[in-house]
Formats: sequence, structure tokens, C-alpha cells
Amino acid sequence: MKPLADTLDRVFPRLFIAVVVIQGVHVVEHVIQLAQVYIFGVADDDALGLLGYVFQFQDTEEWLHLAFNSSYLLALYALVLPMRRFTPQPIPFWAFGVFAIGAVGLESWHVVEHSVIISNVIKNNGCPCPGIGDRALGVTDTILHFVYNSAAYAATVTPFWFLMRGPAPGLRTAATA
Amino acid sequence: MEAMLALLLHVGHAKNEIEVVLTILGFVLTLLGLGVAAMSFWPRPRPGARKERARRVVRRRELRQSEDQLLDEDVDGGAELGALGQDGVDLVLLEGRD
Repeated sequence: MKPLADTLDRVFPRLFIAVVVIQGVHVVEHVIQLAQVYIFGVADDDALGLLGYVFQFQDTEEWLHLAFNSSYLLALYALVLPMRRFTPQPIPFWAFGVFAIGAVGLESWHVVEHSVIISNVIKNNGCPCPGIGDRALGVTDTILHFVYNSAAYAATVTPFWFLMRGPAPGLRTAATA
Repeated sequence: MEAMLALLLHVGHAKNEIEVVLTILGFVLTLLGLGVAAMSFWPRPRPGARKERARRVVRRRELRQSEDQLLDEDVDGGAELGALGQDGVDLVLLEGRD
């Protein structure tokens, strides 16, 4: 267990920077997908963002989203343990709480949703492939997953800001060490 | 509020009010997230850089003031020389003095 903790500590700064950059790009993808549907009038199931047109299986981008969100969730789990070392200074407890609930918790639920979606993709050999929240709330999955991603991202960058810009910058020092 | 929701439903082709609220919430969180991420990567000023810059500004102002003072003295001197030349007194001597 100790070698794993040491490895996580070592890769923590670079992993956190990579997560913030890559998830930022993913959020922009969802904004583009939203624009495709609500501005350019593309049908919901045909609006695949940008990368969705490149990585398409069973005529849907859902496999790509499942792979991406599972990787994102694993990365968030990998960040939790080493992040505790930076609490309460420079990361205040409340910011760690925002990360734990808003990023790790919400993203865990998001991956459960994607598992349900992918089970429908397999069953129907493509879409329609509803999840849980879209059926319960009566909204499209384009909007719901846009909100999931933007909320998880806002919760991820909260402790990141304290690490990079806080009164005692931890990550900047650790990244250059 | 209801009129605004109706307008957003019409403009955004949303199915219901929940979609409108979620879209607004999503955009606010997106702007917040991307904004905070961008600010985190913004270069941090060196400690004491602001004080150093303020000191440089003061020094530059002092230099400019003393330069102006020197120029004023030159102008006064030139006027005196001109007066001497007009009178035709000691003109040869002045030319020789450079």
C-alpha cells in the first residue's frame, strides 16, 4: 500500500494539471454539442460534439463518453488521497469537501448513468439509449450531461486554484521540485 | 420570471422549464470552471515586484524633474548670452568662450 501512496504523491501535481486541462477540453466539447442541437438544429442523436464523429461505435459517441468518464473518475479517485496532504493548507477543508462531493461524488453517479446508457446501446445496437436522470427529469441527455460535466469541472478546479494561487502555493512548488 | 422562462423555452427550443434552468446552470458552471482554471495557470507576480515597479516610477519621475531643471538653467544662460550679444558688448570674448 505504501508504494502506491508514494507513487500517487509523486504523480499528483502532473496528474492534477492533466485532469484540469483534459476535462476543460471535454467541457468545451459538450458546449459544442449543445450548440449543434440548439443553434444549428442538428437532431439530438446525431449531435456528437467533435471527437464523437471520429470515435463512433454502433453509430453513437456513447462508448467514447463512457471511456472518457471512467478514466476521469479513476483520475479523481487517484487525486483524493494525495490531496489530503495539502489540507487544510493550502486547500481549505471546504474546498476539499467541494471536490469530494461535487467532483468525485457527482462523477461517480455520472459513470453509473453512462453504464445504464451503454447497456441500452448494447441492447438496441445503438440509440435510443436513455439513462436515468434524463428519463426521471424529462430532459435531453445532451443538457443533463452538459450540466454533470460542468458541475464536476467547477468542483475539480476549486482545490486546484488554492494549490496554484493560494497563500501558500503547494502544487507549483511540488511541480517544480 | 414566467415571461423570461417562456422566452427561453421559445428561443432555446427547450422541452420544459427544467431544461432551461439546467442550461443556465450549466453555462454558469462552465464559465466558472474554465475561468478559475485559466486564472490558476496565469503567471504569479514575483514577490516584491509591485514595490520594485513603484520605486522605478518614482526614480524616473525624479530624473525627469532634474533633467527639466537643467534644461531651464540652459535656457536662462542662453538668454543672458543673447542679451550680451545684442548689446554688442564683449561679443568677441563670448565667442571665444564656447
